[in-house]
Amino acid sequence: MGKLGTNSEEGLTDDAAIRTSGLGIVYNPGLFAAKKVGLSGLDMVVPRGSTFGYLGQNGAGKTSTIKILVGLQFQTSGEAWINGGNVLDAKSRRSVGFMPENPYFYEYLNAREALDFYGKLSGMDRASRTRRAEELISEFGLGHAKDTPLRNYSKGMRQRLGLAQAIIHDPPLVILDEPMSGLDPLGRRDIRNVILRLRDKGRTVFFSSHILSDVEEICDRVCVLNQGRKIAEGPLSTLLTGKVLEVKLSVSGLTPETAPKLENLAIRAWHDGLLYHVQVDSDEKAQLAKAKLEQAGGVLRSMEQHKESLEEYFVRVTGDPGAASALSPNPGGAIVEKITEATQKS
Amino acid sequence: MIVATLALNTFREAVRDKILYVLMIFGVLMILVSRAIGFVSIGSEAKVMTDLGLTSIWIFSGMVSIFIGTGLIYKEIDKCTIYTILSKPTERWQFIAGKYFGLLLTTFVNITILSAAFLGYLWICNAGISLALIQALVLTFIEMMIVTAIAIFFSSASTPILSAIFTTIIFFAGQMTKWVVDLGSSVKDTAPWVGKLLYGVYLFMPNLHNFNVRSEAVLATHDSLAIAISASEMWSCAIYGFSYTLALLLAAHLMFSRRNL
Amino acid sequence: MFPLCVGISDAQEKLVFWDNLFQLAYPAYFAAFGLSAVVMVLAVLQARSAVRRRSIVLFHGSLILLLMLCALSHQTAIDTNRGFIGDREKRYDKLMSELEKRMDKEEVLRSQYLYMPVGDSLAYMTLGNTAIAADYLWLTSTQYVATSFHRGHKFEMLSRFYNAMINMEPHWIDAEVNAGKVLSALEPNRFSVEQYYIRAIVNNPDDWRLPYAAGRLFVVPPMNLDDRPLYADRGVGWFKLALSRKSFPPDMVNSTTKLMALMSAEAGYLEAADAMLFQQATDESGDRHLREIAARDWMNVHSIRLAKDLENLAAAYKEQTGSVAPDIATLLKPLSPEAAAEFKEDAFGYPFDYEPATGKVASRGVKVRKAMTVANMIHTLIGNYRAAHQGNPPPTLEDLRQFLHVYYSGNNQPGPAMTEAFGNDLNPVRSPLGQWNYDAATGTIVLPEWCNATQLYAKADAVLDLKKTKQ
Repeated sequence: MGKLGTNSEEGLTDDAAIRTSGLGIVYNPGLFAAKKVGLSGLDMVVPRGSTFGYLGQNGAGKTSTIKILVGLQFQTSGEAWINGGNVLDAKSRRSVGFMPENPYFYEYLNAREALDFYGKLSGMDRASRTRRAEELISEFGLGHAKDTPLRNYSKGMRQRLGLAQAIIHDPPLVILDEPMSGLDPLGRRDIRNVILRLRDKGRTVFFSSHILSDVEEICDRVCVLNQGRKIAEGPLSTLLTGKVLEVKLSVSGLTPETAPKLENLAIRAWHDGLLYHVQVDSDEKAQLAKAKLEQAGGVLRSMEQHKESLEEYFVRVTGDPGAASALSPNPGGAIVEKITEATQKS
Repeated sequence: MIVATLALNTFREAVRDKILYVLMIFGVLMILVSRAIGFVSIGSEAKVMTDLGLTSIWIFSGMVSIFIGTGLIYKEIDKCTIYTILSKPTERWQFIAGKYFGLLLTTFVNITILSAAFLGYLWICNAGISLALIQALVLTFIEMMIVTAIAIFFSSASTPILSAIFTTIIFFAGQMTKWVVDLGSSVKDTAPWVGKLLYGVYLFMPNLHNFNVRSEAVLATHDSLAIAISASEMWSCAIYGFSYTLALLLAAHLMFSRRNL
Repeated sequence: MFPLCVGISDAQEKLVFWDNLFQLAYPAYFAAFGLSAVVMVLAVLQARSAVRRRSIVLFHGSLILLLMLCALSHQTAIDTNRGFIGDREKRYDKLMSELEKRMDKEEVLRSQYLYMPVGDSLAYMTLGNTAIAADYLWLTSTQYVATSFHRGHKFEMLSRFYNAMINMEPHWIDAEVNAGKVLSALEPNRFSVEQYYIRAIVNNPDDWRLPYAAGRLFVVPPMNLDDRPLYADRGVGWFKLALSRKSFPPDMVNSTTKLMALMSAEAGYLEAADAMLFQQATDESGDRHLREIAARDWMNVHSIRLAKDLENLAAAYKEQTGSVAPDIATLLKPLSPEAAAEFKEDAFGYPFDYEPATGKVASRGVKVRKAMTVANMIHTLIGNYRAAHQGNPPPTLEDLRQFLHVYYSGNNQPGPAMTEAFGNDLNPVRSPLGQWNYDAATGTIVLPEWCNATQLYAKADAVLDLKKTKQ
């Protein structure tokens, strides 16, 4: 039993942590409601050791996929394997740790009891259970609340405990469903750090999200899902074009009255009371605009380059401008590459 | 191992639930109050006390099974706690069995405590204790095995309120299934086949009245007889209880085994 | 053609069918056992193959069936030990008959009262579900009526049941009406049954069925002829109440009015009866056949009424003059010619018989009608007499009277038709016409020539059009 608790690559018969083939699920809600396709024909390979982002709007089929992978739901077509074991076999779940979206626990337990319970379910012996529980409690900063009943836990604490129970037996594959949804920036950072630590230890992390910035930051591969179908899969770098979409110039010393007319150049220009901003759609135009502005006596304070983000990628592939905004409720989520030039003194 | 873990956890959940204590306190109170009611019945205090005690143990352990049992599985699904359990290497039958045995353990502890209070009180009041009473209590526990299985069965397919209603109906209707046969025999002259059909239906119903030997036990106690029913009948009841319970649990598992959560 | 017969043979066929089916119970049990075992083995074998789900379902299904069969076999064992209520009643019946040998039967029967539920306590016991209790009472009472095991005291027992039932479910009128019928069949005393109906009527003041049923109680004539006016009076009262209910079905109004008319006549409400029957007989929208019957009844009632009026005149005359009038003509003198014409003959067209000594007046038509009925009854009795006396008729009517008294002694009570014809003292010698002309050789009553139905009802057809002629 103890063997399961310690991570090892032995016994894993597949070089992919997750492999699905034609995976599909159709929900049959009953006599009078229409059937609903949750997922169809998903072929996906998650290489061992990768950090894999699983993207899609709400209802795209992310959670359905994950639930099939961890045995909570049953596919109506296709097959799926985890570390070479068929997901229909409960044994396949020995090598996986799972954190559901918004994890809930038995409220009458405290953190230590809960982790002990999950350790038992994962087949760990008493000594390693106790050791791991203590380790995880301190690692996730729950030490101050380890005897508090879980009903008094905040969302962030519950989320951290959810992660802790998922990795209590140190599985080679960790599946996280929306690990960062509903968390404050600090909570998101904590979770992000845990994922990065797992990656550094060589564990495979598979997580779903609709917050693209999180995915862009930590994933090396993504799979994008739209309405139950896969629309893209691969390393992030190959998905995004890297083309510059916009450049924003900010200058001081100019007002709308004194500023030069840039009708053919700028998409828009505005003054925020302190600085004068001009937005253009290519690097070349930016250079021209910069020259004109400086000519008029402006001092360049910053020049920001905006490349294609996952968000824009999403708009591009789904052809639905609404898709991206629905996807990212977080307005600061796009990658912004900042080029700040030294302030020129006049 | 996993079943035991889940069972103990279920037991812990029940023990930390207020409703168990409320029911238990009510049960003990009923047993204690039985003496007062016994006083009113001139000359048969001991019988009334024993009657009331046995009946309250029956009804309160039934309520524990129903009220705790019917919410068990549904609550897990509703509160999503089941996600973290079934995503571990846990088979679904282990989950059902764990929940069942946890609840059964709760019921067992409940009956044991109430029985101890009951027998102790009888002893204090010098009201007569016999093996027959133990028989009645054991059969009550076997009855609770079925009731618990019914609760789990409904809980795995329906909401707590609905399953509580269904289980309660079956709990009480199960005491009266013989009525179906008697109904059939009352029309035996006009429509004999109805009687036979009803008897067939009766055989498949959960005949919980099998486990009601309370009045026999009380009469046996006060007629200085050792037992209420023969050993072979006791065995029949036990085997009936085990078979029926197992059938119900299998049916629960069958429904639950491929349920999308 | 005979739907009832078809129904019966249908039921028999059904019965045979089910009997055949139930004979298969044991083979079916073992077949199911074997089948589920085989299916289970197959499911286990198949479990290794790809069709996992199906094998799971098969395995579970067969195992559940096996377990149920196991449970079922023990159920029958338990039932054999403990038995059902039916068996218990059999045992109880046996016990009762044994007890009866040693104890007073009445005492044994009365001891059953102890187990009778009382309304209020039952209501508490059902936690307010009184309807269920009423159902239970009703079901129990029907078993009680049907089964032989509770002997005697049925009325007392059942009226307790039914009173409790009314308490539990005051508005269950169907059951209340049926219960009343059961009670009235059990109890000859109409008034104790009426008490039961009154309770039900109090609870359901707007329903016609209960007062109607109460009225029906009094339609059957009483054993004691002296009670007749009282019965008729009660019946008329209830029917009136029933007719006054809005819900009273229109198609029953005619027959009920007829009943009321006849009963009114019996109760002494001659004018009312006269008016009702006349209305029915002359109602042109009514059924011809029913109108004829009403006309005949009207002739009877009307004649009685005329005779009564004449008697009143005779009484008035006696008061005025101090002496009895010598004949009817004397009585009619003070009346106008039109009024006097009414009393010339009775409604049948027969003259009135006047007894100058007492001042009593009787319609001969009424007497003839009665004489014909009674003569018929006597002929039936003579038939009975012959059967008991090697085919010989009674030598005199006095012999018949004695035969009748021997026949109706002890527990054998005469029916209402018998007392109506021969009086409470059951005397066939007495004749409505004064004296029977009995032919002992043939064993028949010879009625006078003018005493026949044709002559009696000769004017019946004219009655139907009387309204028109009067107008």
